[in-house]
Amino acid sequence: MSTAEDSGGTRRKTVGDGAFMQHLRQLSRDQLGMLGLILVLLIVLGAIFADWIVPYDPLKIYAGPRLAPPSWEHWFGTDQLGRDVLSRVIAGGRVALQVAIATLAAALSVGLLLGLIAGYGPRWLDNALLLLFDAVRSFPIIIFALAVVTLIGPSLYTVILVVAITSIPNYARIVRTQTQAMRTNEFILAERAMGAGPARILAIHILPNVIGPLLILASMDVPLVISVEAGLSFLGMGVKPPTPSWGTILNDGYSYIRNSPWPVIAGGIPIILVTLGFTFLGEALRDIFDPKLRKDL
Amino acid sequence: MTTPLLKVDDLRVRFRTMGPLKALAKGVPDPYIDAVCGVSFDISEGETLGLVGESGSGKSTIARAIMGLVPAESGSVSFAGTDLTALSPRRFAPYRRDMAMMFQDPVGSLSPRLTVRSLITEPFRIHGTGDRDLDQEARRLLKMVGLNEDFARRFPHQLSGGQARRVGVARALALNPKLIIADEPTAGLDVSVQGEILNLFARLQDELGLAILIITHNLNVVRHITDRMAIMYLGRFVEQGPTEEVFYTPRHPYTEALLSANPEPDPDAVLDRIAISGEVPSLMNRPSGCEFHTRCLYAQGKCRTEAPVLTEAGESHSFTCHYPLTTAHTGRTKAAS
Amino acid sequence: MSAASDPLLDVRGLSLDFGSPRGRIHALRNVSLEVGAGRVVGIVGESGCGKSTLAYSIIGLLAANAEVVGGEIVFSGRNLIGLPDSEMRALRGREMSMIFQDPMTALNPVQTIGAQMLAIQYRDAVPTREKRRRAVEMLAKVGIPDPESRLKAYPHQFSGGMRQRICIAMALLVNPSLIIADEPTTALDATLEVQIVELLKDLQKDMGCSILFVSHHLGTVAELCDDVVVMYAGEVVERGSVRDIFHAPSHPYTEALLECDPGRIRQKTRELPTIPGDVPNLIDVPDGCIFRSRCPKAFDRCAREAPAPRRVSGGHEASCHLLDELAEAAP
Repeated sequence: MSTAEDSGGTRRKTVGDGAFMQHLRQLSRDQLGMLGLILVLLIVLGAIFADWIVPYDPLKIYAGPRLAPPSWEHWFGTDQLGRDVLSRVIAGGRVALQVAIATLAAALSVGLLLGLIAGYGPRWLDNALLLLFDAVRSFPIIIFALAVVTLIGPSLYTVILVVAITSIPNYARIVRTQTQAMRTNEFILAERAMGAGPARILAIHILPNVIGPLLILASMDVPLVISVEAGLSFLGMGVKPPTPSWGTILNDGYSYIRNSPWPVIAGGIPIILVTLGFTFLGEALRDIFDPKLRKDL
Repeated sequence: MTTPLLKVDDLRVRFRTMGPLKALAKGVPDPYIDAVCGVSFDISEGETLGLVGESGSGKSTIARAIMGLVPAESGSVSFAGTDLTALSPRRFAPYRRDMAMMFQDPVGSLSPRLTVRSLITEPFRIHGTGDRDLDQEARRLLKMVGLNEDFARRFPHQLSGGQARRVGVARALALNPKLIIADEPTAGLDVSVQGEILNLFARLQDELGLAILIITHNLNVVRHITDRMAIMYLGRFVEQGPTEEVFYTPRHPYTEALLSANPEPDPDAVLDRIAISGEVPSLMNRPSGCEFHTRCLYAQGKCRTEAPVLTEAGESHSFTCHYPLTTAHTGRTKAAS
Repeated sequence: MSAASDPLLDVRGLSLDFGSPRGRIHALRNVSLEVGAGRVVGIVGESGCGKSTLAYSIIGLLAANAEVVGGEIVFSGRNLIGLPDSEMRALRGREMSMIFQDPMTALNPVQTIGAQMLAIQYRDAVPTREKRRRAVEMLAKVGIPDPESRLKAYPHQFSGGMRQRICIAMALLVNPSLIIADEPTTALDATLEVQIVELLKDLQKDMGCSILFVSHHLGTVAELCDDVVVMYAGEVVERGSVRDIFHAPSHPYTEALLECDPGRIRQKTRELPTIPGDVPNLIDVPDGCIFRSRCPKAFDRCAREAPAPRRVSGGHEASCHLLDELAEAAP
């Protein structure tokens, strides 16, 4: 029994035959899940170590053929300014991940908080929050992005803000539903009978039980978030040149698609890989953590 | 006679069935169900009272009302002289140290992600521990309920029903309460394990002078462990008194029916069974007069129209029936008893 | 057991494992029992003894990680193990039907009772009118008032006791030769339990089917069953007629179980008997007798050798070394 948990809700894991190793073992049996894990690791490591592994400086313009097809020197060819596309793709991963992490972290924390309050609090508060969530969700992302861009201009922060705010309602709703379901569980009643207040109940007894599925859902949203960033950047509302992002690579490539299809393909491939990777991994994780599918209970 | 530890007086609890708008729309004047309709009893220190009834009789609701988990419509619940129903949640809080409750689902009433150690020391964390060493407290409590020290690191899903029950008892004992309310403590337990929990209660009562309120539908449990028992039907007490007396000379037909609905593990037992027909009526459709008349073998005209009043029969034995039983209950007797 | 003719159901040495991350769980080991035609056989035992697993393996509704590793289940002369799915399905709901523990979840919540009762008669080539008539007749038999109009009602409109009666009606509607009832009264109050037991007794006499009644309520089994099988931790430790088991228990577990039942204890007592200890781990099954660790009468042979079933009297068997000793001691 090497997974200990104090009532602060933090999990301290020790390697061994604890839950973590068991889950890892279960993951290793799921082939698609392993593939997903590999893809995700590739992208994450690539983004972190981008500076060291890029064959060329992503911003530097090289004297040489423009829009060249893939060759031994430039594996993905060059773009319209003569920059190495491969290097830009790798560096673009950094932007993608920054957006993904920042966005999801913000959306998750705010969504979690609001969802807990909506699910556990009084009816009127729940109704008010639901109204808020629905209002935000009914706004088309592009229009919302346009509005924000008008206010603070296009940038990485714009993208993060827009995507985060539009993601909050979904997470909040999921947390709210789970909280509501758990509210009538006997162990919650037992805590109330002992005198625990709502804050304690939410933080220590409800939160740890809702956060698992939430994290898995969030991991499956990563490709979505990255795609939205790519879309916004493609539309010119996100990252500004010359910073490479997958969206800008696609955008640039789109203009010159008649001259060379390679930049578009190059920009699209990482998005596909990210989507596949996180989806496979997320589904495998969900299967592992779903107690109904667990055979050891 | 000293003041009883717990005194419940004419307690009523109602639940709303629909919101005010819907009630208005549907023309329902009183969108409530009466789960508990005027119940009175008391428990002295060191005494065990059994609350018996079928599902939906209101017995769990009484427990929750006593613990302040559901609001009381009227009536009072006094603990050591203080009326709890009149207190605000903040003023109520300290009383939660003196009254502890154990819930029906042994594993489900334990927070799934906490270790046993955290679970049983939870009351300390909620009420402030001072300088107590929680590990030591956990060890003390585990020992008190007969569980090995290394249970402290286990999670609820790793416990058997009996072990989880004991953890529930340990948790209830943490702050040295004077009263324990146990909701179906033997439900879901194998027969060979039921005795362990009941023996534990008996021992703790002897050692600590606890008062215990046991809620159960299992008459066998009641007989062995309680001093007094109360039978409930549709939110009211139909009979109340010393256990042995109620068992051997029940006065209310429902009590008699419950007693005979107890199958004996003996294929040759003579079935002197009082067949009780039908099912408990819905709380939304309460029968008129004596609410039990729809299922009573002895029902007569008066029972349909007039609700019976509380009658005393000997010391602290009371019932509500127009035509109470007079002969001793023989139950199901084996040919050679 | 009644062996006048071949039994309707003959389980011979059934062994079953469940796969789990921690290893194989040997849930059933060499289980044998018989159900004669028209007999009510009770399976008693406590949590983890495998009685529900046994019931489910007979009807063939086991989880994906279950594997039969030995033995046979012979029903009406056919071995059910290894029977192709299509044939098994032909049996279920025809010759064999099941009543489950939880009446709340055993019925489809979005279909009316009538629709469900008509649906299970799908194999019969009779007009709908006739199927309806049969359904109404069966509902009346199980004591549902005003059955004609109740066909249009949904399960949630009935109480728990009523729902269980409906489930019984559905199980009987197909006129099976064997009904498997998995703890049908456990979720009900005592007064309802008594009613259901009376109902089953009457119906069984009326329709002449066999019932395999799984329960941990000794009193109910004593009242309803003709024969009893006692299981512990995946094995059959004793079997015989209901009188054999309740009046002359020959296995220490059966004796202990009967002693623990608070209904049996005549004198009010503050110290109730229990069986100390825990059920053994079924992944690592210990050698010797499975009950040894909790048996008050164990001796050294029990640790070395697992006892084989021994005859106590006609049809009454128990697996205990003490019976050998007794037989040897007798002249």
